[in-house]
Amino acid sequence: MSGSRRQPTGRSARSTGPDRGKTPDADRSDFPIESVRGGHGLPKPLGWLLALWLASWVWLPTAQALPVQTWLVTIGNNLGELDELGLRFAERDAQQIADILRQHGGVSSRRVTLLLGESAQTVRRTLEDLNAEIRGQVSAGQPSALVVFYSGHADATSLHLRGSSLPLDELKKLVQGSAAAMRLLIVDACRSGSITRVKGVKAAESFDIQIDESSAAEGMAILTSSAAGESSQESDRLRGSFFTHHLMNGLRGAADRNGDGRITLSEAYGYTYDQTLRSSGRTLSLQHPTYLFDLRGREDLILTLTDNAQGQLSRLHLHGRSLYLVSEEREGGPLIAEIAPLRDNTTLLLPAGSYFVQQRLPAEYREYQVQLSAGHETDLAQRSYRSVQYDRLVRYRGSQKLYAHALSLLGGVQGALLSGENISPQVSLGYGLDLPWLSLSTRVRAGVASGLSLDGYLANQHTQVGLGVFLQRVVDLRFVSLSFGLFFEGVYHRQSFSAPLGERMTTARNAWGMGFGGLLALELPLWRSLSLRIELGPLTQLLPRADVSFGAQSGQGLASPFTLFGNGGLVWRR
Amino acid sequence: MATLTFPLGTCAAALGLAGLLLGCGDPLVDRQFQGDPLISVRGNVSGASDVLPLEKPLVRISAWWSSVGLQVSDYSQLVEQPSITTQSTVPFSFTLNVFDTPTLFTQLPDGTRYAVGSLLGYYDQNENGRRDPGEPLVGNTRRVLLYAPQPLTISQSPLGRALKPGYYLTSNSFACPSSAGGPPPMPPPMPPGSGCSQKLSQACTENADCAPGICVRDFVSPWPQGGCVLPDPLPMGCSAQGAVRVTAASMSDPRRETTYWVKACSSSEDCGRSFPYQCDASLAACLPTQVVTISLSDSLPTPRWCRQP
Repeated sequence: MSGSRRQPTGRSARSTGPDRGKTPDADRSDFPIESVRGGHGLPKPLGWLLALWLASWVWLPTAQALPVQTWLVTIGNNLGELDELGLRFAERDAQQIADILRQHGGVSSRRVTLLLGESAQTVRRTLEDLNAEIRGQVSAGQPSALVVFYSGHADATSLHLRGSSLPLDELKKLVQGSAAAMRLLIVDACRSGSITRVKGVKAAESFDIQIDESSAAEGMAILTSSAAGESSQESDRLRGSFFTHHLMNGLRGAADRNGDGRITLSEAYGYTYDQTLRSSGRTLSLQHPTYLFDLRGREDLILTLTDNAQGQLSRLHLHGRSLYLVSEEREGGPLIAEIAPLRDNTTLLLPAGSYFVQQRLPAEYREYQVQLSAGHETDLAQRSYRSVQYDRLVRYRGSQKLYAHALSLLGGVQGALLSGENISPQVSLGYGLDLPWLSLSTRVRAGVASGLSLDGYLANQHTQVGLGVFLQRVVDLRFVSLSFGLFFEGVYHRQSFSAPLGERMTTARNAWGMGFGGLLALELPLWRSLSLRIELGPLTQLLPRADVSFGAQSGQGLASPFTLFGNGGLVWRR
Repeated sequence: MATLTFPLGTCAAALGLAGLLLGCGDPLVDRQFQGDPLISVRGNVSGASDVLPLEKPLVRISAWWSSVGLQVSDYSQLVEQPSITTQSTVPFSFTLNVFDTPTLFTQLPDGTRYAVGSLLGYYDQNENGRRDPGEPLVGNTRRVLLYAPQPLTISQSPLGRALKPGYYLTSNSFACPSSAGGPPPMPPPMPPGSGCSQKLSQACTENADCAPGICVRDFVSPWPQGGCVLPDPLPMGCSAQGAVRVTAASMSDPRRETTYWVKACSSSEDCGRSFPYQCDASLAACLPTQVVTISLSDSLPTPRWCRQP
């Protein structure tokens, strides 16, 4: 898609968003102006439409790879000013961006500079030295690029680097003033929070790189992690900032919208925009990445190549556009990627190793355990997977399922309710709803107990038919689900009699009772939607019982016998 | 299994609170329940027998049915029904609920069946619930159990009276049917005279309470709180209206017979007395025969279930 149309000479792009009070039409009319900044509240597809529009309208039809002479400076600083809470992942983000562009983008290690926890003075001097080096090595018209990535604290005017400040204008001028033909500045600046830390400084101020039309230099592109007035956030779960996490995954291959194996700047931005907006949508505030490009006369920039796996990298082919969570080594391991591929077939570049991949389809989660070998390809569709049960899916609450239907067929035994009765076999058929916090079900149960009178001359068959309501709380463990709960049951009793040794005649007895009990259950997924369930618990029933004297009824009262039950069987969910 | 039992009132309260018709219906039964009794026999066992061990004088009481009708002359003519039984240590009182129909019947030429039997006590040495050879009989009673599986006419009934289906517990003071198998001989015609039966069957402490009758305490069976009867022959001026002439062996001396005029009845309600008084089906007379006394003895007398005319 990118590069299919040439950019009109002298035109660049700048985004405005609906939050600025403009209708979509108004947005469209604004696009032809020279600088574009990603707007607030864009629906997910719009980010990509924007990127496609950029690729097809602003830039040249064919993309080019990062030139051999590409310099990369990644700056990460967890510490900002003294009154700012430290970040946890800013330096890690900088390290990983460097790794990805080196491994997937072909940037030579000799031209990669990693500045972690350094002061503004060091950053300033490094960029100045680098500019001098580039001027000395790059001839006029020779392809070259400078990529500068920053992750850390900032405010509306400057970066905060371990108690020192680097004005944004100065940073911009340092990048802009580079002799490299292509200059890319990526700023992921955040405030501090607790679980999800918010990069940046004071809430009243906004992080806005303040690049207007006049400041957009030719061959210059700037990406920022959030729009003016917004916070940028990092996540414990993702172990990084939303923005950088999704940018990295985009560069690994998730952003390859057209499937050509090349991740362009516009593809990377479009993917990062959508995913950052989605991820931040689960938090207190939305985060809209912004960009400013002026690559007039230049082709869309290819940042990484998915067929450029080198060294210890391996290709993982994903199928389907559902969300993928990739964790290191095993389920519950560190989450390294939350990916929403843009195509049905997407290739992701990952370091060789063991991974747990969870594919979140609307109706089920598929969980894969894969071992990626260096230089090899692994097709996830060819691998066996474990399907996460529907009830778990509901309880995860990350899925689209709000509830799951459950049918159960259980058989088991119940202890004696009346003295002289044997342990009775029983069978139950149930229907239930699994909700995020609670599982509700109703069951029809039938059981038959037999007994013999003390004198041995009267046998009775005690039939119970119950209709119960069960409330359960389920705890999902790795391989099984445990649940505990309560139930209430209305029970119809019928005692019919026979005389095994004679002709003793006694009329049948019919009664209504009520049962209460608790249960502890274990469910083990068997196959697809089928689970094996084992449950047990105590129960008591309130039932009318005869007082007996000399073998005959002499009165009656209510009894509440206590006993135990146990069931096992199958549960099918949908 | 732990069980709490609540009275019926609690049941009603619980139901009211719950607002549900739960915990209701026929009460359920456990192993103690043996059935719906067809007749409930109350009695006591007294006396002594040398065959019973002193440390644990257990006596089992069970029903025995005759294979020859009322003409029983030997205990070998009786067959035990182990399902009608109780056991305890002498002396004891018992309530024997009879849940089963008899297992042995007397059949008339016309096909009509009835069963006659009695309760006997024996030493159940091996405690297997039935009398085995060698286990001695130690007690008998003057009561007779009769069971009619269908209505019996006067000619069919061994008591000489029409009977509804069911169990009957009677004295053995009624006249035996003829050896030919017919009904017992009809009682002699009633002497003329005015009725003196107003006080019959009433409780009494002395003869004055029953004048012109007398107050008896032992006749056929002990009479709790006494009872008014008329002597035989009837006092001057009294007729037999409302009375039945009953002849029975003396309780103290079985060889001596006594005759009284007892209140006639057709049902126990006619007697106006509570247990053990009943309308004895064999005589249609109000007698305290609803209780069974098992007398223990080392040598039981020859069984006699009716009075030879």
